[in-house]
Amino acid sequence: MTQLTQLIKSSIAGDRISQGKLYELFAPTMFTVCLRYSKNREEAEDLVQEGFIRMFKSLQQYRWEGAFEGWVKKIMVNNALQKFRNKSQLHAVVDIEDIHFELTDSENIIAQLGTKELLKMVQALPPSYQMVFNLYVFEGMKHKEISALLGIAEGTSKSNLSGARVLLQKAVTQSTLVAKQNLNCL
Amino acid sequence: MSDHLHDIDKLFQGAINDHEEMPPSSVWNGIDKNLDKNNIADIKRKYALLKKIAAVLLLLLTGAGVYMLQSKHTHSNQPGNNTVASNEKSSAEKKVVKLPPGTATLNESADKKSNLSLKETEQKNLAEVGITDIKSLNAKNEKSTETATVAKKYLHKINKPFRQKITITNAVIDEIDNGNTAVYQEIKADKKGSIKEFENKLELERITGIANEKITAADFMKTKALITAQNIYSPLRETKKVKQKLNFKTPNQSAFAVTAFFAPGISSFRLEDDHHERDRHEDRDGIKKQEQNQTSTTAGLLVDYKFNKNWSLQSGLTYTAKKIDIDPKKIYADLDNDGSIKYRFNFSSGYTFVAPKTGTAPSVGDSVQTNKSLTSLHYIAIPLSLKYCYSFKKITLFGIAGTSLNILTKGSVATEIADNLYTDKNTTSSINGLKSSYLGGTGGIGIEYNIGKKMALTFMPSYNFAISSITQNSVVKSYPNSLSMAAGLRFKL
Repeated sequence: MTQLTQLIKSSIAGDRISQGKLYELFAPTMFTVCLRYSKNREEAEDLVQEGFIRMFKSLQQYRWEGAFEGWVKKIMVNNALQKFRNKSQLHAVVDIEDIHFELTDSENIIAQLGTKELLKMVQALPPSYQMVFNLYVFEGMKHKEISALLGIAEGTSKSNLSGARVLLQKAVTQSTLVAKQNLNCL
Repeated sequence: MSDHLHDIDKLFQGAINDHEEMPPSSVWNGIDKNLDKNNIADIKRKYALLKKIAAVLLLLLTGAGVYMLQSKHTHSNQPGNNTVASNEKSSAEKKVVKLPPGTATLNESADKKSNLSLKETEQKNLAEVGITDIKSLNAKNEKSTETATVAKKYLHKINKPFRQKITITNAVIDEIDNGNTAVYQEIKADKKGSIKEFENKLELERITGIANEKITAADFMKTKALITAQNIYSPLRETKKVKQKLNFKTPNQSAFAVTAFFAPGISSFRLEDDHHERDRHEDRDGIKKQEQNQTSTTAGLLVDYKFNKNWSLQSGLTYTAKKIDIDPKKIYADLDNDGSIKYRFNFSSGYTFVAPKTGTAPSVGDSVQTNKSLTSLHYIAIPLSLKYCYSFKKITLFGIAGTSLNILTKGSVATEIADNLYTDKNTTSSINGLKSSYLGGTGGIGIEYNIGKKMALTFMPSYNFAISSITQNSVVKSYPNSLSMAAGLRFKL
């Protein structure tokens, strides 16, 4: 029996120490997931807390099929989606006609901007774009699945993804330019 | 542009997927608190049934207690305290008549050994001592005095318990009331007769035709004398129709019994986090794991009062000693109640502060390792239980359920602070957060084996539990419970 299996079984039995260890094991990854689906850190903290509470409550329903991490992530994502569904903000439209961008090398961008800044860009997206972008890019879902999950048309899903990409591209370009200017000043 | 858009996807995937960040500790605290709430809700649901049973038992006990008190009160309201009760075969009717003070005096003079019952045999001639008859008897003062004297002597003779059925017919009473001196003389002459003869003469079949038989009339004169001596007439005046007879309880038929017992057992605690006293270093799960080895020993005296063929109330006094081993653990320095910095030692029964006798004084947050520790708790308890018995031959099976008030007499904890350089032993009876008393419940089944008329061996496995917590303002709320096997001797009084 692996350590993870033992931890899961003890957590199902209500052992708080095991539950704590399970949390410590998956909280860092799940917090990042929640950061992607939230508007700021505070909201992400709420999401990860609610998600773990849900997870512990429904741990008995875990069927021991597939990766446990995937199961936990699914709970986190569903929890986040439910939050945003309640806000009814999935159909926002942004005018992207006048957006221009220039993409440079990915590694350079990451080096110049940092992961946290990229996360902030995702958080800055309109909720409808943010959801679709997350589901498509990070969860690997198809537009058909996204439209069914969010209750929107497939075209809307595609449109939102496109809009998200354009906005992110613009944000990355602007941030890179600022970073370059800062470097030149130095 | 399309390529650039896909590059955007990869850019974010690559950067964010590998990113990991631990949420602040407040997130786990929130989860922990929420899970506790759920656990409390589960526990509440789990013990809801138990609480209902306890409430029903409490009501039953209260009802039984009130019944007994009322019964006692009725006794005390009467001039005397002996009971006259009917016990007839053909009629289920029972009526109780209290005897006046004279009875008690007379009984005392008879060394409390009298046991006389009046039994009815003829349904139609059944013991209806009319008020008129009684009045006429009372009118013969000189005869009453003498019959009382005779009766007193007879009562002296009655030195063993017996139940005798007698019918007093109007005819008999009339015979005596009409001044049948021959009958009266017979009483005097027969006063040295054995009690056995007296009993035999009281056969109901001989009542019929009493007017023609002196000896039978004499028997009933004696009976009458007993009744007169006991001043039964006064209370009977208040009753228009009396269909009753005497039924004295002798000490041999006492409803009380005493049981001395000894009960070793294993005990455990049900722990709940006290949310008002959360400790960042320890919680109930940690404490529970550290305190697996627990024992309890109980001894005491229990008194049973049987108020029914099967039912009885049980109370008494018991003494319980609990010993709890605590595994080695890490303890942390904190401010004590006086503002000094000492190591706080948390355990299921409360907490205490330990100051190292050697080494440097600790700062808040410093930690130290302890060796194995021992907690001792001593309680005296006053139980109140309802007991149901079922007897056959020499065996009695019984079930018992009730509550108890447990009063702390002593609590102590002995621990050792272990360091590389020194070992400090510390024993203290100052346990913080330990209540001085708690309410408990008990339930069990048992068996008794009679080894004599008055003595029985008794064995009873029982489960004892706390209804209220034994701790307050401690890291955990602690509810001790124990499974014990009692063995004892029961003496019928």
